[in-house]
Amino acid sequence: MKQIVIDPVTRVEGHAKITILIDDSGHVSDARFHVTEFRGFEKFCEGRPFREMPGITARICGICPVSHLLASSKAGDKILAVSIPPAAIKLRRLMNLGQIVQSHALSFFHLSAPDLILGMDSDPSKRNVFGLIKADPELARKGIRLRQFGQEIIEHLGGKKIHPAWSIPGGVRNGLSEESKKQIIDKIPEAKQTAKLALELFKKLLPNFQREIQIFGNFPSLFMGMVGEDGLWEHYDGKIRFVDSMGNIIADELDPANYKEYIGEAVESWSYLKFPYYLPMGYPEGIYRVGPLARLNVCEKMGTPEADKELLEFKEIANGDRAVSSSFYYHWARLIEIIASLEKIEELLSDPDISSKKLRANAGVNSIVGTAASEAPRGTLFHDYQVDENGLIQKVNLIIATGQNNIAMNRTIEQIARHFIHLHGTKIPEGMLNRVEAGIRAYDPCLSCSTHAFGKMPLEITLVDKNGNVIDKKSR
Amino acid sequence: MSSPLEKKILIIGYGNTLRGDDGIGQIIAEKIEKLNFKDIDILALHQLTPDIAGKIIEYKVVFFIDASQNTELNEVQVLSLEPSESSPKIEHAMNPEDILKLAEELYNFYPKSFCVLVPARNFSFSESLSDLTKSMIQPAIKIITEKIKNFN
Repeated sequence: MKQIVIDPVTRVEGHAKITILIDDSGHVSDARFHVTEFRGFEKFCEGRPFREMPGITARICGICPVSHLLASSKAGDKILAVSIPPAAIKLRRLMNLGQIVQSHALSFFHLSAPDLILGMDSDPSKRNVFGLIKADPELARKGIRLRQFGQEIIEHLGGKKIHPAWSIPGGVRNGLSEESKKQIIDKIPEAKQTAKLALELFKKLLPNFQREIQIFGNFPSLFMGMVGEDGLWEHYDGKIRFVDSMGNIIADELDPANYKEYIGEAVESWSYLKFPYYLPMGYPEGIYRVGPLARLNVCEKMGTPEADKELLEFKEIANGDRAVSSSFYYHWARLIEIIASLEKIEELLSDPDISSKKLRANAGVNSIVGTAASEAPRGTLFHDYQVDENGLIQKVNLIIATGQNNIAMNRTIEQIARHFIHLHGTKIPEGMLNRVEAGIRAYDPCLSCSTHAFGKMPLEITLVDKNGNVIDKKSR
Repeated sequence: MSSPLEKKILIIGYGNTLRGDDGIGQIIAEKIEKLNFKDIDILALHQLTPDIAGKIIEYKVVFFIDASQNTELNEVQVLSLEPSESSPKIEHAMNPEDILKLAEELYNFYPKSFCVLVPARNFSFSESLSDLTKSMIQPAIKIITEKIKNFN
């Protein structure tokens, strides 16, 4: 038995390494996506007042703080046992849509576009955002501006510093000024144009990636996500739906607060990231995927004109009735979600409720349990709190989106490695490394950097035999 | 090289405030903000991302305040920055030189920039600063405000 270790994976949020286990006959026997950083947030939160939780958990991540802010304040709403004012719900929705736009823009334009536009086999030293700038500087600039647009929505609502919680148990602290509203509205046409340009470009490039479509997580699994009324695409508050690869709804109308009834969490000794699975099917058979691909597979409509047209075309990949199975299509789904988000932002800004001054419901601790979920850019995010009568946190469980794709990411690596190792024996072909990285990037995993990276993070590949002896090592 | 927009000074403090001393950049940036300097904008960030390149080009001078990973550093260090010479690999969490390089490549401009490195020792999971890092807050503010005077 030999091991190929890819350590660490570049252009992925946080630190991780990959081990590919090769048996004595030269075939891939297993693949492991290790997450080596132990975060300990859940323990750290114990004893803290639940009202501080949005501000604390938002600091888990620099890329998607809003996701934690919203899931946490929703869990806080449950502890207060209040219905929050409609304007607060709409403003929270607006912020989440801004978050989806900025996070998806970062993923597509700056992390994945180099692979897509320059090609998976292009020179690794140039296959990055700087190579993209050389190839298409205008696209790179537009990508920056689209991400800025999403960030600006967040700043208009929460201020420049998002961590001191704007969204809080019971509602939100501030409304949206008329000046801010106007500034956002003025920038929507450009943002829409950029999103459509990226989507058209992606569709044009698709014929170049037939092999990647076949081997980037192209296997049956369940898909989980929130849906609204009538199966509408939902990002903030809805019921949970599971569909299988054939497009059958296998569970529907599930309350996020009861997640323990349908989500189990397995643990493996080689990773700090848990392995959530659909409980009724057991581990690992209950593999499911979350995030843009899953949300588009579980919903029936996006609920906005342009995005609905795109959804129809997207679903045609699987004849319109089955689920779209290849994880390569996460990129496509992400772009459709940007378009839907922009259309929904426009809708929300024309809603008179959004200017209401009633933004917060006040109450004390009325429930010792608060469990809620929202859709983060990368998938469904659950926050589950238990408090004492004074509102001090006794227990916390967070189920993060990236964790829920953990089994699927491992299988994706295995699928890619089997394709290449089968062709190339136990050598480490450059093409395989590029695709293992790109296959993981399709999920846009966020392992939440705890410390920002210092300097460069080189790619190191180590070949290790069954006794742990290093027999080959490569680095970029 | 001058800024196309001829705007003032930007101070960016970055780091993770849940990782002990790593958050010192944000803490110092916020303290400088409270001094209400004219023509100075402040950003307190978890990490540097590509869109910051689009922000810095609006300014003539930019300061990046960060916790130093060099455990032998015992005083605040100010370095003049130039764009990275090679193409960086990481874009989710970039360093200041990468941001300058991105600005140069995208907009043919990068502002005069400095990195202010603050001695740091504790990067473990904590909301408090080590004594050494705490003692560096005032010296860092003093050094930055002195430098700012040269550009106002």
